[in-house]
Amino acid sequence: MNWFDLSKWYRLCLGLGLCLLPFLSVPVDQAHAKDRQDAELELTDQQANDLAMFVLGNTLFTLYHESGHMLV
Amino acid sequence: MGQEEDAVDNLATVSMLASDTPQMDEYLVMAMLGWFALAAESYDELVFYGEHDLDQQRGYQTLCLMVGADEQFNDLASDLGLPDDRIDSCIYEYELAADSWEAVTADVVRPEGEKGNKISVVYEPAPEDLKEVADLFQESGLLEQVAGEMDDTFELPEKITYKAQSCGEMNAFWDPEAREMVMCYELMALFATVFVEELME
Repeated sequence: MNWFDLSKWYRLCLGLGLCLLPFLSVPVDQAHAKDRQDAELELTDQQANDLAMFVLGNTLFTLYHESGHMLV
Repeated sequence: MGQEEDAVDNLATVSMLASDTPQMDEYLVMAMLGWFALAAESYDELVFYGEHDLDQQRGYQTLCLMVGADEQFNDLASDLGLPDDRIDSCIYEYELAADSWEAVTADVVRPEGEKGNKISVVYEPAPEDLKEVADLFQESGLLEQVAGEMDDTFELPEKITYKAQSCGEMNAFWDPEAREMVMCYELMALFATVFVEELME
C-alpha cells in the first residue's frame, strides 16, 4: 500500500504535536531529524499502521456518509 | 430509511460492506471503533437534540449492520457488548437497510458497466500544519475511489465536485448549492488525535 510510509506518519505526528509518546522509537528521515532533533516518532510499526488505517477508515466512512447526503 | 443522518450512516456501512474485501472490512472496523472513541472524548458534551444519534449509538448501529451482513464480525460484536439477541435482529436490520437504499435509488442506477462523467475531484492546497494529512489523503486515492463509485453507479443530474480542503473547522459536508462534497483536512487530523488519545496502548 503506497500510502503507508513511516516517515510520512512521523511528519503528520509532528504536525499534530503527538510525537512524544511513550512507545518504541522509529528512525526519522534526515531532513526532519535535522530540523527537529528533539522530536522522535515513538510508534511501533503496528501502531503506525493502525493509526493510518484508523484515519483512512474514518475518512472513507465520512466520504460515503456525505455522498449519501448528495443522493438524498 | 429513518432520519436522514441515520440513513446516510447506513448507506456508508452498506456500501463498505458491499466491497467485501479484507482491506475494506478493516477500514469499516476502524470507522466503527471511531464512534466509540469519539464518544469517549465527548461524554461531557452530549447533545440529545441534535440531528445525529449519539456517537456510541452510531457505533452500535454500524456494528449491528456489520454483524448482520457477515458473521465474521460476531466475535467483535460480542467483545463490544452487543447481546446475542440483538445480533440476531441485526440480520434483518442489515437486509432492511440494504434493500431500502436499493429501492430508493433504483430509478437512478446506471446500467451495469456504464461509466459516469459528472464528478470531478479537487485537492486544495493545505496549510503547513495539515500538509502531511493532505498528502496522505491524496496518495490514498480514497476520494477518487468514492467519487468514481458514485459516478459509475448513479445517473447524476448535474456536475458535482468532490473536494478536499482546509476548512478552518473539523468537518465534512455536502453543499447542495455549490454541488460540492467537501472533506476537511482538519477532520482527518481529529481522527489521528482521537486514535492516539483513546485507542493507542
